[in-house]
Amino acid sequence: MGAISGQLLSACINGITDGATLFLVAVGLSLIFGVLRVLNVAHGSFYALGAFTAASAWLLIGALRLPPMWIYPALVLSALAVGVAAGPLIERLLLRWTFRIEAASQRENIQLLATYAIFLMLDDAQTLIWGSQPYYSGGALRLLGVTRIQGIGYTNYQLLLVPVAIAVLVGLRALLRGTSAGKFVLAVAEDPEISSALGVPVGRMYTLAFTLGAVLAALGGALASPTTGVSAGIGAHMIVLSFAVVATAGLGQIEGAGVAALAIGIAHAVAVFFLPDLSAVIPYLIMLLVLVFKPHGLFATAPARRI
Amino acid sequence: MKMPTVKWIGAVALLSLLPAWAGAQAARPKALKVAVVTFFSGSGAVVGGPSVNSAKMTIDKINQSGGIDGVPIHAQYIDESGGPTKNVAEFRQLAQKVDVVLGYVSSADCLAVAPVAEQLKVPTILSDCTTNSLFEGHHYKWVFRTQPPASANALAMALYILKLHPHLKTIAGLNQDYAFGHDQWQYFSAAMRALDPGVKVRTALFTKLFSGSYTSQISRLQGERPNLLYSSFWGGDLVAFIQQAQAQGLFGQTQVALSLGTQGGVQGLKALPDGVIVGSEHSYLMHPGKISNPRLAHFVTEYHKRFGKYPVSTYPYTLRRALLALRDGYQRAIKDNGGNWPSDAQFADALEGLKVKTLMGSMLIRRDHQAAYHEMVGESVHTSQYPFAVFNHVITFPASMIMPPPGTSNTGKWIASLKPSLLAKVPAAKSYSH
Repeated sequence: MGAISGQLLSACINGITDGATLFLVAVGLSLIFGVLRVLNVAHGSFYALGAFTAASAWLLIGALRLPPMWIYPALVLSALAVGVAAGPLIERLLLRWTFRIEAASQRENIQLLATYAIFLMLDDAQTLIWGSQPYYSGGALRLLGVTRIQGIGYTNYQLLLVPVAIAVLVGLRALLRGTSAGKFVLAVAEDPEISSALGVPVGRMYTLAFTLGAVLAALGGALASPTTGVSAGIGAHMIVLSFAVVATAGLGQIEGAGVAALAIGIAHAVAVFFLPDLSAVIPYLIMLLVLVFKPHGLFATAPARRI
Repeated sequence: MKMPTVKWIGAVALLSLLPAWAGAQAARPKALKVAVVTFFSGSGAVVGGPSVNSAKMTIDKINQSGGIDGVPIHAQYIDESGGPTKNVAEFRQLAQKVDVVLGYVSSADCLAVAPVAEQLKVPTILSDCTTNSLFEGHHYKWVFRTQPPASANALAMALYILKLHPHLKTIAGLNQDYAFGHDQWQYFSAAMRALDPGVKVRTALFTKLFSGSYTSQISRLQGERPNLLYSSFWGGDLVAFIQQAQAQGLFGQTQVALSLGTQGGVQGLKALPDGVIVGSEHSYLMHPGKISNPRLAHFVTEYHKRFGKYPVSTYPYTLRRALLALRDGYQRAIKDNGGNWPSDAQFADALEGLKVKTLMGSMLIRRDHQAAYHEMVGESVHTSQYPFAVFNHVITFPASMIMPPPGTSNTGKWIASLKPSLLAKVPAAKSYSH
């Protein structure tokens, strides 16, 4: 294999693994927008809370001298705990009232400001709870070993994130299209007023979709925590990247978010190999390029079909 | 009639001298108010925690021994997070409230704050930032820096590598994408080329500050297999990089050199494998005299007792050094002022040419306001004595060998003009058992 093709292969492997985490966060953002029509700026906070909780779980496992392998179920449990605790609370207490604002543009503006305020509050809450020192759980990254391809090491943990992301995508599709609760959610996404008239509990579906979105973001954070340092502010970086994914795919597009996350992950990794100076801006260049030619995103049509 | 006229003239002359006399006789304050600015939040908090711990210890000790000529130091601690604009606004407020400002980690913040300090005439001692451009082509009256510039650290690393590992001919860089990261790489690669024309630069990668994820960069480096990877990562980025590089197996394939390798604190040193080249202008674990130096041993014991942690990184020593300069500067100014409390200008004058005795040797504040101080480079090794890596094969580079001379307007050019014969002057490495 030539040097260039070897580098391309390596870039693709890294890009796919990075894209997997990005997808988990972005798909949650897309789901919330698709159903509630709220552009949730606080989504990055769920990612950060998931990461902090998972990093704390790693420390707890070490302190209690429990088997280190327990970290893997603990990562999932951390995400569930964060999403199930914070999701309904925030949706019911802080966002629900905004749905009663009749004028759409006013409602959207207030929702944007409200979710930004929630983001700021949760950012401060993270510092209050976890302090300002970064947390590291890199040990969990090494536990599963390394796979070497042409002398380059890829941690099995990061490789496993890809099937996890695929499972989430398949599971989400099955949940939305194969269960009655999912079909209710889809109905609400299509038209909340008609759904309500037909007896669908719209409020509960909002809570369900918001909680599911929060769990997905927290799962992204929890699964990413062994691969990075967890410190206050990590949510802001991720929410900006997730917006790029969601805007590229088109708001409310679930499968589209998967494709866009993959494309952005791979493009970023390829840039690291071949155009390193552009690697930081490449996700936004892709978004810009897509929006110039397809203003509603790659997979949405005007008006956007939701979910 | 003549005599009274002469008397009046004399009286007026005496009265006209009064303001000058009063200016030199600043009233002795109840306390010397000092602002200490460093990072308390985000990835930079790795710096602020140990710096402030040590600052508190140092201030307590100075105050317990009578303060500065009877005047205690009152410190307020300010979070540096928020960027240069916020820090300049904060500095303007601090200028109204305090006598001296100390601290600043980020070079961008130092570059923004220095001209404001000059404009407002506030004595300012920069304790951590290292950008060479701070004093290149600038002469400040009110701004001082007790930290050696970035180039000194980079040059010491190059000299160490070429002295002890001359076979490492292909080099790559992984640095943070801002002024400090670019400066470090520029100085290091220029020094390597100047001191050994056979060195080839392969790759220079720069990552967003505090991005925290480097797996793609590490994969690329593993594919290219340079003999040496040089990184000036610090804070949370450094710890995250060490953990990821360790997991992906980079350390076994390429010799890694971390110019600020102690700055990830205990967490970073725990994850650091053996044989990594690490630079630091201060780390007691790097100091061969750590056992024979009772002051240093006492400091380490006290620090560990008070905070439950070892002062392994540079940071516990940087603010301490700035505070010692503050104390010694005031003492010198008081002496020069006939025992009276000095004005701000007299204090600033006293800092010029001041020699400060630190825990690990002496520091000279040069006439250009840059402190001349040594650098150390060693290699990591895990022992049974500590639960983290310590150092061996340590070379202490004297300031005269690695610091750009006063008045240097382009450090890059100065480094490029160095000759391979400089390697012959590098002191021998000290190996010692921990």
